[in-house]
This record gives sequence, structure tokens and C-alpha cells, in this order.
Amino acid sequence: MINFGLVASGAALGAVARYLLTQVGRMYQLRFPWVTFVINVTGSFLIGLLAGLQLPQAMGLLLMTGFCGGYTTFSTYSTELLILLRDRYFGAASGYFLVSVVSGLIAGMLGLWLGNRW
Amino acid sequence: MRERQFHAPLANVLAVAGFGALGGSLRYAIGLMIAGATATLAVNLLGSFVLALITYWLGPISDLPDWAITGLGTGLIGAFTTFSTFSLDSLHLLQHQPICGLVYMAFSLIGGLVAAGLGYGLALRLKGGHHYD
Repeated sequence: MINFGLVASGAALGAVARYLLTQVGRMYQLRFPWVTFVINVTGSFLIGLLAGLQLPQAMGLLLMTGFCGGYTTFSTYSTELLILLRDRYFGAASGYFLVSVVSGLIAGMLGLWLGNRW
Repeated sequence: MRERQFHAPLANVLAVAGFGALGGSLRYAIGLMIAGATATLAVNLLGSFVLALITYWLGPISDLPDWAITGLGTGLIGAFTTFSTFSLDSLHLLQHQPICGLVYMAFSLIGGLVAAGLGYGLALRLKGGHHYD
């Protein structure tokens, strides 16, 4: 039960951070989904870093499963990609797809590398 | 680039926190039931479908207040799905079982787009006779 509490608390904080950043992004009406991209890449870096640090289980649940999981989002990424394709912004769509996936992997790797030698 | 005011009402923030806690817990529960990356895959595909449905059907047709739609979409489904675990799972699999890693990535990425497309299609169909927007 305490595990659920840890995940829930982290996820609540992560989701609020994502919501606030999204609202900052809404101030600038951009075609490219920069905010989700930045969130997913920074979140991938953070989860890599935390994984590299080999945290105790409770910290992992709070920060990785909870915060990073709640902060980053796959559903928004999929939906934004779909809408770029629907509106025939094929360049932006392929850019969003490639850059999200590749940067996510590189950020995660960088985080892991840093965390491992902390 | 036209600038708008920053708009984040307290009711929306609280809804995102509450529903986000629920979304994260559901993801954790599914992770306890299904082992490893398969759980993340299932969560991400299901969430992509449901988010499109909420955004393009429930939001436009329902009388639910803004905080409820934001809570369900950004909070519940946003926190239910996860990109960070997807990246970490992919790295891990690519390192140890490269074929599995590529299959996982392909299923997640193509599947996520297809799931969102199905949710979007269903949303338009359900909205069918109505004229909102």
C-alpha cells in the first residue's frame, strides 16, 4: 500500500509539472509540439540518471515510476504525431517522431552514464 | 508567434494532481500484473487510444467542466502513459536483446500511432450526428 502512495505522490507532482510546462507552451502557439518533446527528453534523461544511481526501492518508486512516469507522456506524443499527419505536416511529423525517439534514447543513455559514475 | 496569457487555474492543477496520482497508480498496478516492458507497451497503447477519444469526443460533446477534461486527459491518461520508461526499456532491451528491443520499439511507436488513430476515428464516428466545434 505504501508503494502505491509513493508512486501516486510522484505521479501527481510529475503530472502537475507537465501541465504547467504545457500551459507555458500554450502562450506561444507553435505548430511543432516542443513542450511534449522537451518533457519527454528531460524525463528520459532523469530516469536514466536515477536508474544509474541504483536508488533504494522506495526512492525508485517515488522518483522513477512516480515522478518520471507521470511527468513524461506517451499518449500525448502519439496524439500530436497523429494530428501533424492529419494536417499533412509530413516534415514536422517525421521530425517529431525521429527527434523524440532518438533524443529520448540518447538522453536516457547520457543519464545512465552519468548516474553510473556518480 | 502570437503570445497569450499564462492560464493554469487552481482547479485544473488540483485535478491534474489527483487524476495524475490515479493514472500513475494504475500504471504501477498493471506493472505488478504483467512483467517488464510488455506492461509499458500495453499501458502506452491503451492510453494513446483513450487520450484521442477524450480529446476529440468526450471534450467536445460533454458538458464536463474544463478541470474535469484536463484532469482526465492531461492528468489520468498523461500520467498513465510514460515516455521515460519507454526510453529506458528500449535502451535496456537494445543492449541485451537487440531484436526484442527493435520489436518493442516498433510495436510501441507504430502501435501508439495506430491506437491514437483508432481513438480519433471512433471519436469522429461517435460525434457523427452532432455539430459542435
